[in-house]
Amino acid sequence: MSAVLKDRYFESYLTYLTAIVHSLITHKNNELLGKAARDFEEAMSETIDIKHFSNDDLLLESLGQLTFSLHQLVKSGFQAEVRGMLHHPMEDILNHVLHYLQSLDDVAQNDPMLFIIENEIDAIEELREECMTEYPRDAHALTVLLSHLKDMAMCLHAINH
Amino acid sequence: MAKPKEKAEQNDFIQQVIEILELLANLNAELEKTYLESVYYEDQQHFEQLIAKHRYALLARKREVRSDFSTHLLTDKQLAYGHSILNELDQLVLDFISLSTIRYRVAEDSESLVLKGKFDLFVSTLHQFILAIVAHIECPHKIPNIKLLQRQLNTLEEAFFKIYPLDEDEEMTFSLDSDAFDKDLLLIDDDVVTINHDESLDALQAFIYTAHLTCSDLQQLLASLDHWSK
Repeated sequence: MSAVLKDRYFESYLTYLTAIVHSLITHKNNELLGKAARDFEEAMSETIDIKHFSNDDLLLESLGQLTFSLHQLVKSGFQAEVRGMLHHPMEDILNHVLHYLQSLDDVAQNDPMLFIIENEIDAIEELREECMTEYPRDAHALTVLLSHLKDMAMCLHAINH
Repeated sequence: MAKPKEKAEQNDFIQQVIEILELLANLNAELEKTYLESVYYEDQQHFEQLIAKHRYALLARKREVRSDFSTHLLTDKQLAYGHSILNELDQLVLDFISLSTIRYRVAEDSESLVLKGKFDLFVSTLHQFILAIVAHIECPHKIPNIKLLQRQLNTLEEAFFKIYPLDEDEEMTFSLDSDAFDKDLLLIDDDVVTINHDESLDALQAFIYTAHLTCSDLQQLLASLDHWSK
């Protein structure tokens, strides 16, 4: 897998993830998100070698599918109040992922960065608990979001191993 | 009444929609092999490779159809419904990929495996429903039975809540710290990632929630297809 293609993959992944987080927070499914999704699809198809599918390909494939899964939540969205409470943890997760990927190399100690993501995930867990009675539908949607975020954190962790 | 050239363009678009639905059914069939299957964890790489192949075929065809679409000779109404059909197909691809992410979490958890029969039944009904939409496009008098699909989903949901009763006080655990991270949550063995079964409850709940959204998106697609053909 060439480094240039891998860089393009992560660049488009970050753009796509940013657009998804923005849409989840604002509940706006705009053209930028559609474009980011198409760019990411293209970068994925160029980067992942289907014929000689390696462990690297497996991880990028899984990370990609989890990102599409996060996008899936945009349509149903969350209530305005839940979106407000989701704003900071999601923004922090995005920033941590960005820093994590920027420091991704053989010698960097990236795991502490990933552990910080855990705190944000915990904050979303708490939000879900709060929503259980008042916004049960949103609590279910937050379960889906959490499930995908946890898997995404694991994929990101595994990329550096 | 549509002119012959317009009619041909309309048929061409509907033919392309059928192709996309069939590719979606193929992707679903491949995903189906990985839900709650221990064989998936034995050769994760192989299954992900097959899924990637089907997903690329689907996305590539969908891109072509979308870029061709504006060149079709269509009425304003058809343009509007055509865009809505394409958007719903986009959403369904996301729905199916999202449903399938359960495979990262649920493997041989004894409780979730009890659900396997009902799970398989729902997923296979979902597959049949996509093919029923194709049959409906080809023969409009054949009406896809969304109630059957919803019934299978409700059965799965009831079975799920019997096994995992709702308990608001239950604390959901997720930890990436030190020992828990290494020993329980994420085991890295020869670069293959496996996941602790404690997390499967969340995944199953996520599956059921996403399955409800998928049913609703399929209904919307069906409605748009019917509007298109009127």
